[in-house]
Amino acid sequence: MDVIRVVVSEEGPYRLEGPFRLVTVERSEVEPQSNVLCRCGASQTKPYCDGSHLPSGFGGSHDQEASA
Amino acid sequence: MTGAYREYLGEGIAISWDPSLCIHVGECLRGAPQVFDTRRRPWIALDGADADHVARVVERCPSGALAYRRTDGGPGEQPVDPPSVRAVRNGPYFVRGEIEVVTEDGMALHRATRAALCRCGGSRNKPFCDNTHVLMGFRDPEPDAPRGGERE
Repeated sequence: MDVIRVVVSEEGPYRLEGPFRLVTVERSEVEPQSNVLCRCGASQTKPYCDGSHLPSGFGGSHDQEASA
Repeated sequence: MTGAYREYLGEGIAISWDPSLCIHVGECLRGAPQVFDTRRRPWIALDGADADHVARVVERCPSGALAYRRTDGGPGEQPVDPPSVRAVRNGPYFVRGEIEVVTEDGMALHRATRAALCRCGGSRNKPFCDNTHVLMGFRDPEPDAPRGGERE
């Protein structure tokens, strides 16, 4: 059983560790081009991160962590 | 498990519900309307419910707010393998598999077989979806128009 580790980087993207299948918003399965996925909503190359989160951050702190 | 949750006991199966993860997709309401009914208190009622059927319906819940354990020796949930990540148009990622959500420092935030992760940047419950994408009007680019200007 392969575990998928979703690393939530501070003010940055998800970094996925381990194999995974990727289905796009067009509902088609594609070979993942990257394991770094947009979490801020601003990427021009969704679902992949393109660094769009960098200029100002996006309020990405782990609210779950804050309320724990 | 994150936040407060309830457990509901039935014959051969116990259902847990984590309201902090629920984004109201409604697979439960559609799949087993006699068991899951938001107009009723309690909203989950397992009297007379078939444990195998309820288990299949719970497994449809993409957020993982609903989970189950068998109390009759029946098979527990098998995580999807290999794991899958689906970007929902104008919405979150639906992740399925044996999922570990961790911080960069390695702190475990969540372990689950199903999770809806924020993709819009706006959730107040990050990294989990809380439907803020709806409030924000988060939009993926429209699919390319068909060639020749023909519209379907």
